[in-house]
Amino acid sequence: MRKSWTSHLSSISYGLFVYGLGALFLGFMVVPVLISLSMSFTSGQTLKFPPPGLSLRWYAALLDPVQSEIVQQAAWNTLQIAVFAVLASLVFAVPAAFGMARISARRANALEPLFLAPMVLPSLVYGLALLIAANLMHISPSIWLVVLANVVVFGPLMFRATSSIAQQLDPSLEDASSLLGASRWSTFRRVTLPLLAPGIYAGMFLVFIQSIENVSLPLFLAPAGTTILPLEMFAMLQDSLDPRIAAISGVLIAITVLVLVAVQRLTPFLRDQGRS
Amino acid sequence: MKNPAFPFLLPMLLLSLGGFVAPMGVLAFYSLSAGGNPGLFGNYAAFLEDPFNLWIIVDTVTLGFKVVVVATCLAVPIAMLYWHGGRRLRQTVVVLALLPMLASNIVRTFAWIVLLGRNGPLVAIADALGLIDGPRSFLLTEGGLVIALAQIELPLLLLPMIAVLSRMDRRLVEAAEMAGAGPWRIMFTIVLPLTLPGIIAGWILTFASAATNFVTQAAIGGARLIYLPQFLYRQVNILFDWPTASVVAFILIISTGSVILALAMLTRHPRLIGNA
Amino acid sequence: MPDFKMNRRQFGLGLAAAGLSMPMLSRPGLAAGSVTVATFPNAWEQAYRKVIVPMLAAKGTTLTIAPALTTAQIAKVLAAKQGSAPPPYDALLLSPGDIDIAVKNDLLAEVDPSKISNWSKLAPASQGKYGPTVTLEVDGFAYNPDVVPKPTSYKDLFENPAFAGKVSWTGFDSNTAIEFYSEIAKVYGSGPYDMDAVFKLFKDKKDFLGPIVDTTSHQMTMLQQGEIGVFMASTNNVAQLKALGAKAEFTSPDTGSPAVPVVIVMTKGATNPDAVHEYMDAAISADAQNVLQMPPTEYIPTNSDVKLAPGLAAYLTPETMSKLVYLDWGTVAQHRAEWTKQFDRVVKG
Repeated sequence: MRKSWTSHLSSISYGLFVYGLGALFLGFMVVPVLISLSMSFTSGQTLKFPPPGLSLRWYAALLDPVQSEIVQQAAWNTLQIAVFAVLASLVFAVPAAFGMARISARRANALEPLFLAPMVLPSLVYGLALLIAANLMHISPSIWLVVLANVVVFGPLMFRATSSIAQQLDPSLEDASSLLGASRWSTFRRVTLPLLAPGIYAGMFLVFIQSIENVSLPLFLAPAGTTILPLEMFAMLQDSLDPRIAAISGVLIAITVLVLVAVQRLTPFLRDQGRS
Repeated sequence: MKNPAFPFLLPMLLLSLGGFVAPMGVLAFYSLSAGGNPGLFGNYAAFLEDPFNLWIIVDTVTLGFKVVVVATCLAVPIAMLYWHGGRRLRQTVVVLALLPMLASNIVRTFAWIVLLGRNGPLVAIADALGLIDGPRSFLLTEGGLVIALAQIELPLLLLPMIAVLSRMDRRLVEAAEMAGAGPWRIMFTIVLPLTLPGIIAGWILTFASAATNFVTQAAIGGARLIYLPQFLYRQVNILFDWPTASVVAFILIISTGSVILALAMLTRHPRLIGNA
Repeated sequence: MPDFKMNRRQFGLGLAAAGLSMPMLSRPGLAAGSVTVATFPNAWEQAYRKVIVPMLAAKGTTLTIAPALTTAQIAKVLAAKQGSAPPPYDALLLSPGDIDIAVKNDLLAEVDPSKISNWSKLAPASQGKYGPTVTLEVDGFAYNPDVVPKPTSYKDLFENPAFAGKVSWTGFDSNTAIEFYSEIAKVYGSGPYDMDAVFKLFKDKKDFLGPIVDTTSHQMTMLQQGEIGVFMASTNNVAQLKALGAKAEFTSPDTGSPAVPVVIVMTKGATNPDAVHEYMDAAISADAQNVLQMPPTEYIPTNSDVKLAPGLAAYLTPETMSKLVYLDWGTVAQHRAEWTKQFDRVVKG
């Protein structure tokens, strides 16, 4: 078949759009991260761009138990909170996303605002509201309260990321499974959950990162004496433009890339499902 | 509700009622009862009577929309790059798409101060293209804020899109190609419509996050651009005026929440589901 | 603030689950001779752990340093009071503006000077009803000599063309900013609280205003990147910038440097008032302040036995110290909301 010149033009412009603009915008997305990373390798004393020279001293400082004892403790606390928040979001949000796709649109429209509302509220206000409410019930600030708050505020991210896929699932698959005698729960586990996996992974990532980043919730809800990473980073910036802040991001990026590579070998998250 | 999907919704429902509705109820009580304004909704009336405050609400919602539009323009080519890419390219796109979230908010904001500043590359580019006359700073301008927020929130739009694309069947497209449809036509009539649930999920996350991202709004936007979250932050942290803070919080929930609700209802629109 | 107690029972059941105690991160113990005190995070936290904790340990008192931003300190104590629980901190670290809020909400207890042996070493201004001043923040102009000449007065900043567009300001959210606006009000208006004069000045001299931002740390970043030439800062901010190799100098305005005390206060219902007094005593002792006035903290001492270290003396000339300006934070608190509102309208772009 001979292609007309308009169809050639269309292919060329489309190729430019996808590969040219796609790559350019991907670059736009990454450049600020590279700037942050480059500052973490500075040989100077402050966060500054461009860095006056390169060194690994701030990574060394971060790992040094004497210089960075407080930061390490804070990172450990924050990590525990984030892990619990991710696990709890799985329990609450994933079944909800599935259930939401299986009820009538009218009911779903009535219920969804309730599930999404925490997303539009700055966490500062929710943190304050929960602090007041908890104290009225004689519950004093604790790590569990921080975890609860993280699940309430960031669970909707998991819910939303999963439900976009749940809505596209074909109920006939489940019907088939039920006809074969599988219980509703085992159908969910064996058939539905693997199909939801890409959304769940995206959700886990979002909840984890937000839980690590958030200042307001632990600010109000953590018990006295428990320090958390974003609060320390905030103070490090105010005190001295400390380059360890950039180094912390560098460590986080390195860990995430490693985890992604590992996950990619174990799960179909990155695997090309459409082809094969 | 005798619906078999109900048990799946129950945990999230209980979490919402106990963890979100109850504390917000305390705040609602605060917003109605405390403070010196007469009448049940006196505090709300006092806030809404001031045209200056009304403009802050409008500005906040508009900011969310602007960021969603810019982020969508950036996300579509990247998503199409992912769609056309082979295994390696797809993996690269996913990893790069996650990166912006990994650099902590504080460091990311710092990078944007560098990028948007008087001596930064964006100013140089805009100057070279003749978009501005003479060097100036994009810091503390709404344009600069929208660009920075679009980059920071882009993963929230890309991740749900990629999650949907990763499990989309390529045979649909092959059939269309065989029928002689050009690439643009396939993108607009097949790929993007099928991705729509992911896009809308992404819009919801991006809008909510951009409209409530206090840290970036404050650091890049400065004190001259005022949005509801900054207003809230001040009432809570500086003035300790919790009743007014509660009022502003509910106004923020209602104004941004109604946008999100409309988007969420769109995903269940019968026409749209018919297409997908 | 309304009394919430009567509504307590109306609120949700679901929260009960959250009351479980945390096995891995338990709240610091409340054994006899222990005390939990709030400080600012990071630098302050680290310094107090290193210097004050051992001093109290020597007396058999366990001191737990709990880093928290001012907001969280007040919010947690206030919420605990509304739930009739003991305060989560026995002592707080506050500035006068925040002390005013805490006092209004009845969160603080008066101290007993007879239990603090170093009390007499403090200047009368530092002997507060609710606790001792442990250090002062002394403020002035931070400037980058590569970008602007040395500023000497407020008139310089608004009338000398060399500064046009180079001076960065913050809003009324910042205590430091309020002090400077009060000083400007004295120069351009009828007195320290005549903010209308400041607002008029901001309207008339639009070209002279540089970036108006939210926080000092943002200004430190911009000064370092050469984005601005001057901002209102503490000697501490400038010492930090300089020690870290950034181009920055400090100078006092000709009308004197504004000063903000940092005060340790005791919360009402503190579990162990004697230990809190011990803590205050240690924090104002010459031993502690001699260490804390050295880098990296460089906290200005308030104990009269402490001789100013050379590092601090470079900024705090006798002339600067003799011309410190203090603000009446009670008056500020009355007007703060209104001023903030006005300022928003003046600067809104």
